[in-house]
Amino acid sequence: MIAWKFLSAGAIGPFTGFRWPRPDAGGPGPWVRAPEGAPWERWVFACRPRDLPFWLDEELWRIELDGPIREAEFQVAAPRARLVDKVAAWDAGARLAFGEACALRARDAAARALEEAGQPEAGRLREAAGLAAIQAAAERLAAPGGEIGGYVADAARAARAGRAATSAYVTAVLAARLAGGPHGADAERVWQSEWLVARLGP
Amino acid sequence: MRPPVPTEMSCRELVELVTAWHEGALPLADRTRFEMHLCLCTGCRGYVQQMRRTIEVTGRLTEEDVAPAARKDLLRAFRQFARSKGEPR
Amino acid sequence: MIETTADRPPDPRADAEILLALRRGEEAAFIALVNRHHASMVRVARGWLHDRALAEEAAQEAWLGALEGMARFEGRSSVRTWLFGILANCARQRAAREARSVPLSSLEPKGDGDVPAVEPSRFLADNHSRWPGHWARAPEPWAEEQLATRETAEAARRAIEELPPSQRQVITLRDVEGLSAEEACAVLGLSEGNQRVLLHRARARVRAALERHLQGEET
Repeated sequence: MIAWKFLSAGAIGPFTGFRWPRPDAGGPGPWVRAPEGAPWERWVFACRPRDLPFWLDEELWRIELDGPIREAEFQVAAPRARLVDKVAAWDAGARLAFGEACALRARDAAARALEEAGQPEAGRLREAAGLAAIQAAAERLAAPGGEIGGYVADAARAARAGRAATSAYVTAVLAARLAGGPHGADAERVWQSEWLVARLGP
Repeated sequence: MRPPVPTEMSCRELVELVTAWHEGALPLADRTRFEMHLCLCTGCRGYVQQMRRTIEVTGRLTEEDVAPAARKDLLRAFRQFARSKGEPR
Repeated sequence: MIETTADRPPDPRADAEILLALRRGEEAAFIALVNRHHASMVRVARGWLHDRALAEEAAQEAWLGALEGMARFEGRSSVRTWLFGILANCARQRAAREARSVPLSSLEPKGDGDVPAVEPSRFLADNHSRWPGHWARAPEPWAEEQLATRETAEAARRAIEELPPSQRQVITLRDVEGLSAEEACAVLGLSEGNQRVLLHRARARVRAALERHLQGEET
């Protein structure tokens, strides 16, 4: 099975510090296996498309998994895996674009909610173009009780600073708040993974 | 106030789990929530980094060589012990 | 060959060979073992004994205990863990004897279990409308140059000295001496869970002390 894996610069595991052996000119990299008899919690983890928004990091790799595949809520696991190739489409530009796209979703969701609540500020928010303007308009809204504006400002601020994962997270939390439950966040994450898959290519 | 997404972890919760995570002692569900939080939170990434540096600094605390007086005392104690056992030196 | 204390942690296989030579009565082997472990033993003894001279005495006593007991050492643990175990007993007993002269302030503070790893004011309150429990003031990255200085090492050393004894013992064995969790539990007679809690609190305090030091605020 081919899956995705986010790694820190130099193909290093962000949490374990494990240095993944990289593919050379020919084909995939060498197989890496979990220690003999290791429980599946210690296997190699990877992303399905729907998991991508949660695990953003500097490098994205296609990874081949071998052995019994174990599916979990936010990841898949396998006892053996090898890096296939680095996803060139995931670069700094893609990351910035993703963060910005999420912040715009936050703006639109907030503007819609405010309109439905009959609040005139919605228009000003919807008109704000560019992250800096969105942040400013949202901050004006974020008076006591204006937490919807606060979320939008948080998302825009994170996106401007290049913190795409934060922007995505804030947008999902806002969606949950507006929907009145976690299903709102889940739906937003589905949109996010579709954006990523479309941008990254097959 | 209940968090909008119940599976989330707050930063305050994370800092209490850092040691267990570092030791590999967290059950998978908590480890996943912990690591997902690190992906989205620069503050907590900073805290984990500080904790790593703290352990490094602690690990470098200087060796103190054995003081000459202590070494003499120990040697004397050893020779007494060896004599009492009737062992060759 | 005289080993220096600079090799850390000492190679367990070399230790095992040295112990064999020691059992044959070779004085050079004893000297080698002392050079490899005595400084660490004094450091570990200070987990129970603030006074350096008393820690030194406990370590000396432990060497005698090791000589007496080495015929019984079965090699199931490393030599170092075995030495630290003897040392822990000596230090603990000596600390109990000295207990009458120990000032109240250095006794184990009650309710230490309630102290969070980071002071609560660093986080947004539970009634924050968007981010309860998230950082109010996030930790600043530490400059590598500052971390490498003698002053920083001193700040860490002071912080460890000021820890409650059980936390001091665990962080000394785990982080200063580099023992594994299993070895530290064996030396101290702790469950893995208890050991981890103590390590967590100790590390949290040392990190906080380093943060204060690096930000230029000395307590």
